[in-house]
Amino acid sequence: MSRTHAGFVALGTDVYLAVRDNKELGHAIALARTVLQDVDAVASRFRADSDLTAVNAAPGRWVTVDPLLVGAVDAAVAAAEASGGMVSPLLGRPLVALGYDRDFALLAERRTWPEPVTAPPPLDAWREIRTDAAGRVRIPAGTALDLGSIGKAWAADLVAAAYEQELRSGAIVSVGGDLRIAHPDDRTWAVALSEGPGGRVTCVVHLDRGGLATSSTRVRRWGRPGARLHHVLDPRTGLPAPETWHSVSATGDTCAAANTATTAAVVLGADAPAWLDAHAVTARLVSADGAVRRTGGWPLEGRAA
Amino acid sequence: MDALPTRDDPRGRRRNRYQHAVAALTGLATAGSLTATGWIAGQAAHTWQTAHQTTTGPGGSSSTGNRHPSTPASATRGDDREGERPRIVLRERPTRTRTSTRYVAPAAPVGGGGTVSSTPTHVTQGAPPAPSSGS
Repeated sequence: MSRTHAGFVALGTDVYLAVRDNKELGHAIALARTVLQDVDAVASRFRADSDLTAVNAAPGRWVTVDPLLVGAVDAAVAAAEASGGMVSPLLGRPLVALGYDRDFALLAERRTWPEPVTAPPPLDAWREIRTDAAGRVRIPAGTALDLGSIGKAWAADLVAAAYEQELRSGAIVSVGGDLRIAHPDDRTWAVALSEGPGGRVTCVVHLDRGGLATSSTRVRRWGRPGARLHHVLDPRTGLPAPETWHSVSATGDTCAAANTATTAAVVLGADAPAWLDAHAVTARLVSADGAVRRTGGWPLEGRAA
Repeated sequence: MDALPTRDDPRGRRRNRYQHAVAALTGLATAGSLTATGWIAGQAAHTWQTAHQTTTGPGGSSSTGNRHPSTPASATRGDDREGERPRIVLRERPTRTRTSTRYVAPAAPVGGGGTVSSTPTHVTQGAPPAPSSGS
């Protein structure tokens, strides 16, 4: 049987895609590569030539950028709006201050560390972000963009949108574990949940449409003298969120919506289940002691594959 | 032939200003279908050009030498003598041309989404489950 799935690395993470019609696999791979290369070129915090780096070099001033970055920033601002600021696009400086100033794969080689910042940006600072659809962005003075929390999910939505335009049959794409279905049909897609890439599968569910994202405090972790850190920062403190939940998975109309819910849940900690219920989010939360909590329509556990 | 009024000649400035004011007030264009906006742009270009003009070589003439004193600089549009044609100065900007197709999905609030089930609707073969893990 011809292959219907493929994988490669992009945006510093694993990309997986599958198609219903194996004849469309090559086209699907090419589309995904093109879209993700464009996203990396404009939105990477670790590229000196990216448009995001140019914006971060001139906070408080309008910067001409690729309109693709405007779309990414707009999505990030929408995530901040939907989460009451719990998912903030302006945590670039706190992340750098904690040492996450390079591609994560290079973090283990770090030998010197900057001094942590004493205070994060104001919680509502994201409201001062301005964009111009023609290709300009302005962030508040003293801040820096980091689209890591929403970027991969938004990229998955972009790839799925390309699939809606260019493919004739169903497809699914996962970018770093944030996934989106294109051309939903009468068949579900199997999704394997785990706490990290290549990790033990803890649950298999089946999704019919939309997006599904997982946020975890167990993957992007690093150490510096006197502290163990992870990458999901609490915008209220500028520090890693308390590890109430090891992982949170949720669905959404888009993958970005799903990721907004999972990131907000990690940040909210013990308040997450009530917040997810109030926003009618279907989610699965795994606590530090391994207990599983469900909200919305999340089914009882299926057997792991 | 009288010496033509120059930029620094009060006589010329007063005459031109009067004519230009009349044209603006009455809405009349002094050359074809020229609009007031176009006249303003032309006048600005004329002012800039006059300040930067240089005399051409032997046998040539200055940029104002062959223009009737009652005719604003903008009226010389279509005259292909380099010094008299209003020019639009474009500011150079860094450019980068990349051609690709963009598909931008609209942002959506939290919630919604598909149905998650513990069993598939169909027995499927082939592709392994799509991974959803923290990263």
